[in-house]
Amino acid sequence: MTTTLNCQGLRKKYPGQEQYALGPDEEGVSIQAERGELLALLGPSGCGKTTTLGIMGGFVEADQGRVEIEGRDVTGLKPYKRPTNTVFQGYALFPHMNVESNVGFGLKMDGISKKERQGRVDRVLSLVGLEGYNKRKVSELSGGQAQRAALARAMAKEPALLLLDEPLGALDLKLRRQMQEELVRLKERSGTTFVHVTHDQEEACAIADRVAVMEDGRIVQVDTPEELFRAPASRYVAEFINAGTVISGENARRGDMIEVRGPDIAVTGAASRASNGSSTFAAVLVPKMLDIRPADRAGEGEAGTDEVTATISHVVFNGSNHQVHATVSEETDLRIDLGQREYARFQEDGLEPGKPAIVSWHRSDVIMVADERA
Amino acid sequence: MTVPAILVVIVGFILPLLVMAVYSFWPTHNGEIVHQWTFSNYTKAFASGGTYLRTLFDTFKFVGLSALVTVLLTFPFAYFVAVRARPSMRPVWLIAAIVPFWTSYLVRVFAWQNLFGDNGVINQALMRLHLASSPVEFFAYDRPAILITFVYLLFPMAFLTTYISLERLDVRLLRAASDLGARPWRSLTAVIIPFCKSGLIAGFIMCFIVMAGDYVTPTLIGGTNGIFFSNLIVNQFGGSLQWGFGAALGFILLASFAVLLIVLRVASGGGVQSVGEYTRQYSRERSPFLLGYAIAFILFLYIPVVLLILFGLNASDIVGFPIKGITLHWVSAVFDDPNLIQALMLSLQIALIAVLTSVVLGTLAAVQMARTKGKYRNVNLFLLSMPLLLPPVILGLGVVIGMNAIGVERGLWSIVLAHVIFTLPVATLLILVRLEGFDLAQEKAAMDLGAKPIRAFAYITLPQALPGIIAAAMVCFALSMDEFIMTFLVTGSQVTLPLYIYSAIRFQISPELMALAAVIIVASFTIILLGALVAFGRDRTWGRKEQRI
Repeated sequence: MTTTLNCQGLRKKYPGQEQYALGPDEEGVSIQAERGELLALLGPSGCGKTTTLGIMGGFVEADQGRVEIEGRDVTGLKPYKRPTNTVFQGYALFPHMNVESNVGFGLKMDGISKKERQGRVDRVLSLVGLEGYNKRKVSELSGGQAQRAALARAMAKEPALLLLDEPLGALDLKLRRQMQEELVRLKERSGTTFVHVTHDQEEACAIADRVAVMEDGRIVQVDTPEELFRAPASRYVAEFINAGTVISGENARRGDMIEVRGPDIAVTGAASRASNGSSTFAAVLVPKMLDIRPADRAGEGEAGTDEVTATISHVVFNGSNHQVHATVSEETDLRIDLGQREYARFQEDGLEPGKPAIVSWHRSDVIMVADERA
Repeated sequence: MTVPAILVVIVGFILPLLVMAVYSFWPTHNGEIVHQWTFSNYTKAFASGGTYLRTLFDTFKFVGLSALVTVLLTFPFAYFVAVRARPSMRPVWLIAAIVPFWTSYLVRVFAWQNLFGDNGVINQALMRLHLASSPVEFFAYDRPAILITFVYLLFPMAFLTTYISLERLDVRLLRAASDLGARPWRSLTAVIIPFCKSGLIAGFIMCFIVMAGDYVTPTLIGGTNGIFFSNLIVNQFGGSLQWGFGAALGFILLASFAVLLIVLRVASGGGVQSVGEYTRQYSRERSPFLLGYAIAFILFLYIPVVLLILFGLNASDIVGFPIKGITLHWVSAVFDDPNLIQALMLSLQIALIAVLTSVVLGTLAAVQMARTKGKYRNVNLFLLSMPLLLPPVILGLGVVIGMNAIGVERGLWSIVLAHVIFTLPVATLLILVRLEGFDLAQEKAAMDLGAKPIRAFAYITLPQALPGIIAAAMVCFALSMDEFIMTFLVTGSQVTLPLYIYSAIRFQISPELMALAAVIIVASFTIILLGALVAFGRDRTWGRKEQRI
């Protein structure tokens, strides 16, 4: 694998602001993307992800650090001299041009002849599924079509690096899901490297090869989506990707194991790989790994399981799973994901909202994360 | 890129005002200013048996009433067009209401003089029908005549500000109000008027500023009963050459304006509200009364103009009825007058320079301002729109006094400078409005796709600003061709078209004059309609809200 993008030690402070929008620590922010990879920058608004993308595309000048694309130093180069193209938030399609002129604009700027342009525009339009839309006005496109046109425009120059700034944010849920799949398909077919900025953790995990989670101008974890869920680096990451119910409180060491004593619940587990070296931990109870049974069957759990008594508050059906919400006390709300068979048993057991129940889990399924807020 | 435009405002507006401030503390002896600090100009203004102050108070009282009447009469019409008229018919109403605004101010005043004067159509008719033995004062040279003329002149301006605020009114609000038990009258007072309050107040302020600074209407329509404060100011620079005293009177007017604006701003609760979205909704309720009112108003706007044209084509030596036949005799006489042709050419020359300067500098400034936000933009916007907040009389005085201070002869260039001072802000604001919905990410996108900044501007920004630029050019052209009071003050020996017409009107009302007015009206209607077609003919696709499926 070759590295397409290599950012080293990026820092940025906007004029008139006290804090660094990116790279509050002296060493700055570094990140790489391999050729053909889809890297997602994930974080809440104001975390610095759009600034990072701007530095890659040349719209924002970093105070420190360097950007290399395909081994070439592009730091300080203007956007029009970089081998990158961007799909902008809200698309920024040129409203006074038709689809064809929009998509061909970059090629025209490169001085490519009208004839060759036509062929390449047709090809990229069919790649994004907009064959025959050449003469369409931008105002006549639906949201999804405008999204595809923006993609086509950015891909027409076959950039080394494609930057996407919340490209699916304006679409409704169903269309967003569909476009997520198409983005992955496009990436596979074009072999282009994608950097995709989003605040939607589901979207990031659905499409990215690797996800970089950002917090307050820092990158706090870069991992595959699976690894992100298996071993979140911190309580912040666990909460942001919604890995499960986070229990925090006093820590007690028992050999390799750590017990976290929450206000109304004690959870024991092994410190995960990612969080080693931290002093204080929070425990994450993952909904898929929890079991629920009637209150009269307390203490029936196998070895290595822990349990707690909770009151079922409500059940949410999301189309495939049932999620049971159960409160231990005011402080802790546990979520238990049940598949169809598990839910049938739940009903057979006579469990329903308002009734007490035993919630149990394997100690080995508990994820321990660094609790930076403790 | 706002720098050149700001420079023009500083040189043509701010520095002259400062010089004027200094002059107001210097006495004048034998038409020459004496460099000696004194309050005598101000004490004279406040003393003098109270004449000046009384005139000021009187002017404000009358102008305030006129502005109020204008806004009130405008409101039902604006409400009808914004809420009750079918969206497809709105442009027709809008154009019908606004077009007269862009025809010569002087000619429109003349149109009413034609109706009201001693020998005006109304008095002639009254006498012919033996309803009066001598001209009735009410319809000649009196306050009611000025009031009606003012309403006529400023109706389009008041209409536009009210309309813009009403256009955002969500018709569902009215349905909600009636659903909650509000009768139509309560809906009006509890929902509609509070909603467009800021628009009404803005309309009042604009009318007030124009009326209080007007020199032509009181002079031509009001006769001896029409002495306004601005007439007093201008008189100081006529034969008497009371530079310092005139400057002091100017500042008294300015200070009174400032107080009034602050009071109104506080009364309107500060700041302009911008709630709601532009809608294409309308209420389907039929209202014969409002429709009749709107039609009557349009007739009121066009009848004086139509009469002018009719008299200009009338094959009779007397201005007025009966129409003895249609002839182009008077029209061709107009074009045979070498003085008039000379005045026309001079006006065209000045307008051309003013338009080019305003549009180029205005475009640069507007593009820059559209790109920036916050304090920098607000300061620029304030500086650039300041000349529009003052009556042209004051602007003209500033230029005259400024040129006197540095000892420059008045002439063509002083007229051009005076025109640019107010056409440049107009051009900048019009282009800025056009660019307001422009997504700045488009320029970024163009650069991202390989366009250098200058090409991004040429391919992306300029084409989208172009309708605004063309509209700005048209409006500036019309304004410059029509400008009277500033030109009157700053000209040396040059006679522009409006100056020519003014002196002709004062001399006598003749069929030739009617024909000239008719030609000017037809020419400006044509230009405005062409401009409107260019500016609005294109599809307005930018600024569209993000679309959802």
